[in-house]
Amino acid sequence: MGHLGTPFTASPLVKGGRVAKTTPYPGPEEPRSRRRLSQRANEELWAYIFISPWLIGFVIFTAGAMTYSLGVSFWETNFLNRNEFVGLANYERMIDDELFWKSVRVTFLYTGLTVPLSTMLALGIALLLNQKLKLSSFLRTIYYLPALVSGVAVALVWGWVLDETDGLLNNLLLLVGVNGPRWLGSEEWAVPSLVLISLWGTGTNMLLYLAGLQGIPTELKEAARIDGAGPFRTFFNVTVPLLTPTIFFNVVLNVIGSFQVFDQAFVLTGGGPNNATLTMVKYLYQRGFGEYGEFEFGYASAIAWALFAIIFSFTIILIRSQSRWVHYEGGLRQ
Amino acid sequence: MTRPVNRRSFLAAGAGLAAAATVGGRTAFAQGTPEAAGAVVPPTTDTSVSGRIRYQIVPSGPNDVNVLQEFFDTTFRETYADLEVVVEPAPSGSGDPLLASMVAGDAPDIIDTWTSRATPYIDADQILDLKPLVDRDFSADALADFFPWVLDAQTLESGLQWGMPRYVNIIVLWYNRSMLEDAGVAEPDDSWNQDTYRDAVLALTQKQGDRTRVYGGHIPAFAYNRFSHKVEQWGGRVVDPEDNTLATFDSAEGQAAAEWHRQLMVDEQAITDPQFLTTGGGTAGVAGALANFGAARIATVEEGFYPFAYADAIGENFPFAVAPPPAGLAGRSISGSADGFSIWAGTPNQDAAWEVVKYASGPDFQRALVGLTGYLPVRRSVLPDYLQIVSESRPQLAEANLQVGIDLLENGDPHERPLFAKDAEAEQLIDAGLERIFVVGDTPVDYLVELAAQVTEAMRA
Repeated sequence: MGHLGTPFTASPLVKGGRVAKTTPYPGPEEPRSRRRLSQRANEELWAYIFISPWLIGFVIFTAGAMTYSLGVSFWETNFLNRNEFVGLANYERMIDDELFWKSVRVTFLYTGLTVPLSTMLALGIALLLNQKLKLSSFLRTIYYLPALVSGVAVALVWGWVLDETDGLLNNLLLLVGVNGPRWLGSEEWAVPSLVLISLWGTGTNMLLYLAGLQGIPTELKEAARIDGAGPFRTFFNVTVPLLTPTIFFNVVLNVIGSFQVFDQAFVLTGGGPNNATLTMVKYLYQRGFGEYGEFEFGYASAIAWALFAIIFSFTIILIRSQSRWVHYEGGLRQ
Repeated sequence: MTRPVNRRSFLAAGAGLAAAATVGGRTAFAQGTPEAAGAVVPPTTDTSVSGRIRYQIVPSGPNDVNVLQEFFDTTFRETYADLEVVVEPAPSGSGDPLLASMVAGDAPDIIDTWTSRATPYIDADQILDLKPLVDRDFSADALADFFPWVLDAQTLESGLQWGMPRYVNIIVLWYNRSMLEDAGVAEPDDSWNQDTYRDAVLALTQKQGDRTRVYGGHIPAFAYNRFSHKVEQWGGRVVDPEDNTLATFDSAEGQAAAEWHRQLMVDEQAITDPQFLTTGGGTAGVAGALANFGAARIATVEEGFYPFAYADAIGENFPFAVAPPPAGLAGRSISGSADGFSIWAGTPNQDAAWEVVKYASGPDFQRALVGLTGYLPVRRSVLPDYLQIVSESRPQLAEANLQVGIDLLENGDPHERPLFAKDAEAEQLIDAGLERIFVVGDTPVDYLVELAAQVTEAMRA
């Protein structure tokens, strides 16, 4: 056996069974730079180091760019030879700009159709895939796959599907005797067509709903059944309330994303026909980099901030409305 | 049967330039035009310039960058031993990155441009005025090898010359010989007018129920730069020649021209609208028309003179040929344009860039460019060899009646559309108005009166 140390009672620090109060030996003085951080401070430091790439990117490329664009919105500039401070003129210009208001109407119509339809569709698919099916994993993958495809590729595929002459959809409709509309070529059908395309990529929402559904305790449903609730009552009184945090999260993200729709309108319709698909982002892009060489970056920035204000307002409204319809089990909502 | 241009054939065509410019070239030159009875007079050059020049091209095909790069690395260096040219492709949607690079002070020294592309950059003082350099280095004899209208097309009313000519484009009528034969329509020729044209387009259109499956024609009157020539063909003008702020396309002639096209596009759905062309991710411009013509979904196409692009898109699907665009009520107005080489005003090596531009608009490079793209050359001295160069590269074009392009270039009085005082703004307004008439289709042509008033007001604001 090795030496286990001086017996406790024999320690000069112990007197009468108590540990004597002593001044701890400070040890050799360490240079200030090598002073150890507390464990908490150390963890915080490493946390900041690890998130710093994102943080720096956010500060420079998001927050910095936003601040810069706010400044630009008070100027008339093409960044080359036209730089004039115009104050609020770009914002005033929006008031009389028919195309701006058209783009607002188009964007609201698109969002108004996309968000509820996407919510219902994704929830419906999630409910179906939440059943015990042999192929459920395969089906989940299939429904999620479109969400992985880039927006431009999706637009190109759907451009072919919706081709008024040789498109898949109109040919299918023709088989049942229906002469399909000019999906992307008519003012009436252009926005619904873009909505239809967006619904195809609802896999991410579906996945979140599925996760939410699987997180609902089965004992609650069993209790409801024991109490005599049928499937519909169980769904509306148990499942939906417990799913509202997921629904809330999805709706907020969908609203933000829908207001920013651009790629489909850019690729498939160019904003037409007759500006029927001129979304706000498409319009601000047009003012900035338009095919006619507008280079109106001040006005484009002002439109971007108007869009930001709209999205921000809707997000605040949704967050404020949580208390009325979102059920947080255990009251964890902040 | 298509034989894509490769480096060897391009360089071979380029190598011929030496002969063309000296001995052999004089023979071909003499066969060409009366003005070119003598040798081509070169501009003053300074072959001792050195440096590195970036040249951004708008490619016509996938091989362009490599083939041109090799040309500049070899043939060009025989003349300019110390001048390196780096060829880079303009990215898709190139306006955005080009603007960004100008703002950053890092734009290419030379860029391929055309009037509407150059105008925004001219407004932003980013395009070098070449007029003083042309006056300095080109004598009248040296300029005589260019078609005068082509040089004029590079110059704004203010006198600023934004480019040196790169190639000529002329709007012609491409047609699918098989479809015309199947429909019992005679092949178009110089005698076609608006009535013959209309009858042919209707006869060629194939429908299934209310839906058009094959369009008889593609006449992009919905685009202002093409509509303007239609107005001229009906005897009107789009802008007052004495006052470029006054829109005049709302005249009776302008409305008649619009109505002729509106009926075919909206009522009959016999000619394409831009939505048809963009469906499937295409573009309403040349690419969309070309893709659908190549797929035999359009029987006739009024578009630019791009023989290689048509030959490659069609392959051996069907025989095709080219004819002059049919006349309107008042005759024929040939839409012609000339793309140019522009120099970025911020280039750090202006002298070297100017030498490259002079060379590129010269007969040597032009001859090589014909072999690569099939474009019509801007030099009279190259024209006599045009058909031979083209048919060597794409044998099927030997039967496509490309002589039409040469005839129109020499005798058809091709010209660009007139410009408004604030042309980009006018074009934007007019395009939107034409879209209401031709695409949405719920607006009668007398809307042009209101539209012309809007444009005039905007020009005078």
